[in-house]
Amino acid sequence: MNQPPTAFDPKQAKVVHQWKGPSPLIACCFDPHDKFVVAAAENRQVLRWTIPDGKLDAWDGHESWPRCLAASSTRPIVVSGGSDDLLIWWDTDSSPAKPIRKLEAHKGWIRSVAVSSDGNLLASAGNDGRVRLWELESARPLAEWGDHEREIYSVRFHPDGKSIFSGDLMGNVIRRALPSGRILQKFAAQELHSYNVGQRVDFGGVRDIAVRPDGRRIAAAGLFKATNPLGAVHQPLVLLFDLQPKEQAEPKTSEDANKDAKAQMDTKGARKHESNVAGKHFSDLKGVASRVVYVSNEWLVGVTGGTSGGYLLFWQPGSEKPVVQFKLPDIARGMDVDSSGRLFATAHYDRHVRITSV
Amino acid sequence: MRCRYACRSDQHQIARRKFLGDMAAGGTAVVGGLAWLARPAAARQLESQQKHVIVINMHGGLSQLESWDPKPKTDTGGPFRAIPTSVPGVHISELLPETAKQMHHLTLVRGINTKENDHGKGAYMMLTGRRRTPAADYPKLGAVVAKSLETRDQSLPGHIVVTPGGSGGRGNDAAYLGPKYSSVVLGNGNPPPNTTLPKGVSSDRDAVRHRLRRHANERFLSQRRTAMTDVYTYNYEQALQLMAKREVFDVSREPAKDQQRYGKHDFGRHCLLARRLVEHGVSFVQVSHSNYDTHNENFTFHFEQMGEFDRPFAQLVADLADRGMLEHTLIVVLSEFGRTPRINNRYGRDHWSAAWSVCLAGGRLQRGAAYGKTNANGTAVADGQVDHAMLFHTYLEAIGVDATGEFEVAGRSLPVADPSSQPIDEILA
Repeated sequence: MNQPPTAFDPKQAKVVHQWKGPSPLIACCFDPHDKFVVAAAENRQVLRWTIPDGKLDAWDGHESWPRCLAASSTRPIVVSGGSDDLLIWWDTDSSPAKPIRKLEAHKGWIRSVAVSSDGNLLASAGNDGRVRLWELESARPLAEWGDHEREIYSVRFHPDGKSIFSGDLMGNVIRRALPSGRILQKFAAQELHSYNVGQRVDFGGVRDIAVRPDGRRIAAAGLFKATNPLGAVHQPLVLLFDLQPKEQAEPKTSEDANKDAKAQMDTKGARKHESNVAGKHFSDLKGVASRVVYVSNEWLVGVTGGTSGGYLLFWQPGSEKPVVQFKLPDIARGMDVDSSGRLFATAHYDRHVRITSV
Repeated sequence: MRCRYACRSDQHQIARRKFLGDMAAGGTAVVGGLAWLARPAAARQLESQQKHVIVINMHGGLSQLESWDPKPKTDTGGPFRAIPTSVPGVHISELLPETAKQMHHLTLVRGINTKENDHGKGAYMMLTGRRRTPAADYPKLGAVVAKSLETRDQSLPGHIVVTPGGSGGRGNDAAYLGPKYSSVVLGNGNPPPNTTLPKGVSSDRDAVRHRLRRHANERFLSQRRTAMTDVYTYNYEQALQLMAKREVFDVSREPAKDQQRYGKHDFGRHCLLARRLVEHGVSFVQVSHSNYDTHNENFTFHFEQMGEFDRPFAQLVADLADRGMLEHTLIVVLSEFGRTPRINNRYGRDHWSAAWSVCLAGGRLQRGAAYGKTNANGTAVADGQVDHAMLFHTYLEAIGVDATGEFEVAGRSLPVADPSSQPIDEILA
């Protein structure tokens, strides 16, 4: 996926597969070898369709909705995180699939999971405002951080494996060094958050984060212009931030790291640096950018679902609006891209998982 | 539906004649007093043991599935689980862990069918116990309670509505009961507006002004006294008493630890204010929590809103119980309707009045009860169906007010509650 696809032309996008499941879908991902697409469903199951024949296997294990999925890039493992606070490891090659491991990881929904590019680390985050780091193979807990004051919606690793990003409801994005957890940067994505005085609700948040393959920029996705949050009147927005070119030296102890992080956050200089929005992408559609991925340094792809319907949105640098908006047959709630960067799996309310080829 | 009051039993007829006789004996004593009550014995009881009502209005339409009637592991249940409560066998949403600990004080009504999915109409029905018609306007529960529980020595308004924002003022919600029973609105829980003396007017000078006003009033009233002039007089005197007791509305005078327990957010402050007001003798207080009209991202918003609601509500129930006030204070957590069991394509739930719930506590209500039942996935009432009119009767009966009584207004006898309905006897102790 990190190689720029040649002749990548979103205008040629078309749905090449669609398979129906037993329940509305929430999220989806490809397995590391692109043999399967895996989806989380409202009936509490994790579903696996074989590519290209669409054979369906349904896996039971969650007590509530699974909400997020992440696949290892090196092993046949998919991890699901749920509203039941559970992380479940699935062996995607077994048939029927069974949970390899199950553990209670958070208090409150698990909103996001991610696997590092080397396949060694798993990160999870959720409504309890905590980011947790695990060894993927053993599920051994490695670290836990709680610097977000509200629900965390997204967590992603930097491709180089040396830092991790987390974004929350209030539009705060934090970049930490690994493994220390020292805060390297904070990004102010508050345009993705709104508080509606009439409805008295906080809304929006950093629904997803994508790191550009060259590791020099991140995209924080969500929504803006939320004039009626409870009625779904809002539009997709992606804010772009440049990363610091040089990371500071690691402190010697975790105590030092925490002191440094606090000092960094409290200084005026740090705050000035935080608001470095480098650009933005948006769409006039009504919806939310619930997932974004960079398929190359040039192309950022997002998925949106809302009152305008479901779309894949294709942005290029310098174009605030999508170069192409590809309409999907139904509202999309989740999306993933395969290792070629040309196949996009989308999870839909109408119970279908669809694969779009570009 | 069985109509208990349509039977015209001898007992009811006697009570009505007795009520009208009391009214006739009351003559022109329209200000204060309890002469209007159908049952003098009950009136004496109310006077000696002042009753109160606190309504918490979950504005927009609280989801019953994310609160009082969860259906986990069904196609409509959503992502939240059910948790046990202090009453064995009664489960509520996991979003209400503190409330669950107070379930032994609470009464759930799970079989409501109001057949009205419009916000305004639904709210009107739930707060008046009647459907709105072009021909008649009905007083809201607060006005009915304020009039029914009025005492001779009452110095504070009997009907207070705390709004989440706004500047406050006076409501127009007493219909034929008259403006005396309209709500005093506390915008964002602040003391009533215009209750401090203008700059440059001393207390002594103000007292002189009021002596002059009273003197003029007395001359006028000696020849032209009407119900309306009495109300004008009452309003002046009540305003003065309100100014003298302005600190009653200042929630910051509550102990710091209580403010901490209830939370510093608006809803926490308003719940603590409700406790303070009933402790100072106010008959009816309505607090709102907003907003539950979650057509979009219902679960995220309920996570947020229920999380804010849970602790202060549980504290309020526990405090009133600990202080022995729950015996004579009714708490009602209501909404204009519930939300659809079906989850829409934006993770939302829409308007649904066919099968939903309210939570009650206190007064004559049975504690720890769950009355009524919905089917497996919550789409219909399976047992114990009730509606807004029955709930309205129940509220009044729970505080010892005879809902079969009548108000005598300008020579007309007007039923306190919908005479074609009845209370839910099964939950009244």
